[in-house]
Amino acid sequence: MKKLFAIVLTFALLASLSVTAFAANTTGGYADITTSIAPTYTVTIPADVNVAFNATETAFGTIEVTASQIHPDKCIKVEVTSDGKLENSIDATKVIPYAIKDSQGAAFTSATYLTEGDKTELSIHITANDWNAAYAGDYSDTVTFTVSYENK
Amino acid sequence: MKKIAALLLCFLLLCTSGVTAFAAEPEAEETNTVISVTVPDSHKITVSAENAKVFYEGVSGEEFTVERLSTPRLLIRAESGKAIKSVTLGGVDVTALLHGGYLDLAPVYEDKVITITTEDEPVAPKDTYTVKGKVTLNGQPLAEAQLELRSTLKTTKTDKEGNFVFTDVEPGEHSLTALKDSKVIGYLSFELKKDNKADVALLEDGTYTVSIDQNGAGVELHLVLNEEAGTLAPTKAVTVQKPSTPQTGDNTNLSWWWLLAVLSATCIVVLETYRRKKKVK
Repeated sequence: MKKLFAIVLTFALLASLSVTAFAANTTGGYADITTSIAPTYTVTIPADVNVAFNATETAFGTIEVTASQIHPDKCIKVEVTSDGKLENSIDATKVIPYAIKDSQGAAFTSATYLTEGDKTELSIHITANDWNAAYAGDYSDTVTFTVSYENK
Repeated sequence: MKKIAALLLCFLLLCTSGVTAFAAEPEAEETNTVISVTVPDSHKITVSAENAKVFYEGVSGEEFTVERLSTPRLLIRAESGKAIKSVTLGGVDVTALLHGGYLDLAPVYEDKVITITTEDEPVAPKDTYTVKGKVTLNGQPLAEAQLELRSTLKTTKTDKEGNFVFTDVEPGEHSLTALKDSKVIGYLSFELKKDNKADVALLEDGTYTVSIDQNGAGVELHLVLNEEAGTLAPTKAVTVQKPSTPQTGDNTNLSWWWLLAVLSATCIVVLETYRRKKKVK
């Protein structure tokens, strides 16, 4: 029984073996070398910012890929989620609407990045009318940046 | 021995077998960033004015601090001999919004500069009149209130019954300011105008026309003080009749006075002649 088991095990191992192929001559044949490197990347996102009173446009910061080693068929996606309104710290019913825009002036929700150096400059926009109607007090909102590794 | 050989063979095979390695993909990461803003609770209104004063809550000044989104009421008063020409707020002409000397601001949402320009009042004609009357507050006489009449500055105080008198007031544009404890409590902007009867009329811009009977000596007004609005509203005008007894400087009806003088002189001469004749006898 033990012998039988040893023989079966030996066959099983042989079946799972990778066999190194040696070229019979120098003019033909090939070898597959398979390796897999884990993707690495570094994305810089904007830091906390204080908007000056009555400023209709404020630089928010830059989303930038500062180091990237990713698969050719993959990309880095950065998504921004926010309420779009700054809430009064005392009375949440009092808000100041705002928008996050890219350098082209388009509302920014997400973007994909491929290589090192890819970036998007962001700005915060509050209209003059919204400023004029704002009640006194401290306001804030949390913006969430979600960085994910996705297929192109 | 066979067992050992089998085990060694198995280890050898295991060592030479290829193992496929799968690289782990990074998981999505979330990072939060905070946007913050502070909206101030007050704003400054800076006054730039020559020959005019601006009052807020009864007190004049060159800079006022007002609550954000409040609607302050400013009183703009030209100095004696001057009239308001224009008022601009943050560069926008708001002269047309002046109502009875007051400017009601829209909700203030930022610091503002109010600029006032004035011009000389037209030269007043020589005729002068008496402007007198009574000031009441909630139906009661307003006693001991200081009153300032402009353009040519005249001041007086109301008596216990709320009565006041200004003499030698020329027709033209005027303002009457009521003060208590040096704070403005009431304001009236009016034009004193010669007419056939005494009357008052409220104009669209909040100022009044006070008509004087040109045959009278002046006008008597009943002024109602509204402390909340800061206004002095004339509700009634009555002609002040010329006095029937001769007054110093009264040049009217001189012929009668000449006749009276001649009659008096004649009487004196007759009496003196009679006295001398009687003495001779």
